[in-house]
Amino acid sequence: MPSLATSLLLTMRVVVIGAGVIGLSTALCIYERYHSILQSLDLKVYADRFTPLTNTDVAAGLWQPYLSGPSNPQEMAWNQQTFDYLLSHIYSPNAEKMGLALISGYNLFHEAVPDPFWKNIVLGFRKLTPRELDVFPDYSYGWFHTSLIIEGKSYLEWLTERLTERGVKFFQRKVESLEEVARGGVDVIINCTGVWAGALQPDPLLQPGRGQIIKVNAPWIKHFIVTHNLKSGIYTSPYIIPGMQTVTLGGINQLGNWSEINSTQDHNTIWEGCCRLEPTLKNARIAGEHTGFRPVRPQLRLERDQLRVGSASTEVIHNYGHGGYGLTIHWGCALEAANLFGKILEEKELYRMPPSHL
Amino acid sequence: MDTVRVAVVGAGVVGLSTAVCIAQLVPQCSVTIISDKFTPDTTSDVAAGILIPHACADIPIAVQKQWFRETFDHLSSIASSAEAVDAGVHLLSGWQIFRSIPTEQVPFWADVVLGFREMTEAELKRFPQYVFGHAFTTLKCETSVYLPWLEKRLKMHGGLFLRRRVEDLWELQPSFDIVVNCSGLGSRELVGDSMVFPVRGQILQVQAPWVKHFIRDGTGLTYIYPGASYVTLGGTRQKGDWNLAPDAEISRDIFSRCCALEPSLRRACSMKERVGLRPGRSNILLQKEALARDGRRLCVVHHYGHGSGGVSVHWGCALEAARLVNECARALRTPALTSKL
Repeated sequence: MPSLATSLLLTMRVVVIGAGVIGLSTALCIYERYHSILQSLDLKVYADRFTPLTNTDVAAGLWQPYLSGPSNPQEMAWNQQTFDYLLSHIYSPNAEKMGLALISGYNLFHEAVPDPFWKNIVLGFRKLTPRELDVFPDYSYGWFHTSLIIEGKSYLEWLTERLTERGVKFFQRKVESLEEVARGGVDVIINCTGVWAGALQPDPLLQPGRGQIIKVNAPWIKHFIVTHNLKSGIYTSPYIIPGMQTVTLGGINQLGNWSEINSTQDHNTIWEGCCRLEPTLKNARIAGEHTGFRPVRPQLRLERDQLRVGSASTEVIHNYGHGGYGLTIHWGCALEAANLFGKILEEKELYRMPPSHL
Repeated sequence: MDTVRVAVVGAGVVGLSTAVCIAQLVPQCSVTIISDKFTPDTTSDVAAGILIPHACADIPIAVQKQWFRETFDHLSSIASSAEAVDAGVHLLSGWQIFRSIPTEQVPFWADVVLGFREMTEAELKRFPQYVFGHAFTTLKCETSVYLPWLEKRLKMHGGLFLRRRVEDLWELQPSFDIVVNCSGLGSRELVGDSMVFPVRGQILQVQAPWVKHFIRDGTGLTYIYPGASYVTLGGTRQKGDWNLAPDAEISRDIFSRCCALEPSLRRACSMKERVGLRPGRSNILLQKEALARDGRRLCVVHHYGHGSGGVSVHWGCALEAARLVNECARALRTPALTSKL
């Protein structure tokens, strides 16, 4: 056990950069696990964009990893941890405030495909029956299962409230470099800058996967419908995802496109594709249209780094590059980031991890 | 050929759908709907309209299944069309849960609904007092939208509407050749059928748009049915109770039972209480009757007594009723047979 005297002396100054789902959930996870162990945990969030202006706010919020297994097997566990964590909250009265709801629906294909690696994480996974496929004449194969919606805007508001209650402070500022933050006297920087991480530290593996979505009022639609075009890639085929109050229509994923403006051509692609899939949408009123950037990377970056500023060294934990599955995997990543934070504390002899973590 | 003049008494889901079927299927006829109440004031307007049939004691299962299948297929094609929103019909998935394993683990209608299967252990975990369940996808037919849509369709087929309370079927003779009695609970007085009795149902209509699944206790007493404009929470089955005024104590009890199944409902708002008197009867009465009095004749097709299951079988039954009307019409047109009525 570290000497009580040592652990009570020091304040850990931590800055989380980024206030999307990754930044805020990581902040909460670290606070929950370590604030009572340390004499003082000074936790701040720096971001230039807060809800409702983050990429998280644009996401439809359906819990669903990519179809093919992740290149990093740890990601499978992080997906599962996130689903289980969210499911445990679904049955509480808080669910609606968190932006959480159970939702069932359809994944549709033009050909038979292997079952996804997450089939036993979600509830009631099965293949579609022929009569169900009759409802979708353009598709010949598919799945039905029960998953969750986690609506970005509500969830970020909820996380912000939890963090504020715990004395975490928020600062609206555009961080130009990690050094700038380090020079402010910080022990650990948690880099959750998502698609913009390259501005802080060049990362040729990271690129934007531009998405555009239309939000409509269509309260008679109770299922998600996600179609797949295996040739053109993920999120490039129409999807219809009901949220807490509106329904999100999408099907755009443009790698390398940084345009923040809603495109008329993309609007038409989404509208025509979704109306063909679900003819009743012709009756739906449009409630909004948004563009966001998925932080696409061959695998997400969740690792420690050290920043040398002069003779001093600042610890960095990178947690970015979650592509289109940030909400889906966020809690598992937050737990892992908290593990990495624990290792930092250990090294500073502020804390000894319980044996099971070694 | 003379036009056969048909009167349909009753403007709930049974009356309206029967009238539409008659207008579509019986050649050379005029259809007039006569009722003291029209939507939104009918019993049907209170029903949540979920397609889950209720077994009738004395009607062969094959017939009940056919009625349900015809209704399901009919509404299914509406649900996939652009008309779906105007008609108030949409797909809905969910769970039917049981506190003890039911004797009939696979109901007769399992292969009519979509994707029917038993619930998994993981799915049952959220309902700690329940040990067994069904998961499936069915249809919801929002009566407050469907009934006006049926009225429009009837008008398109030249149907006429008359708001009037009918006290005796003979009032309709000689203006009409055939009377179709779809008066539901009203048949108790209208034709003196003492086998008809009210089964009082109280429900709550709340705003909870995040609830995307139905949950139904296998007994049918507690249920959560999300629709396009509100979620219906229920309910009660009070036999012989004619009271149309909502009871506050019952509302609290319904809300409490539903929150036990779906805790997030505690954040639901804007609660409306509604009461409907289901037309209870041991069996649906769907048959012809030739009435005679003082040398006058009247062909009647009775079509009432659907209890809790009206919406689930309405279209299949309406098709059968239209067939019976057609038989009456043909008989009326054949002079040699008229005297046999």
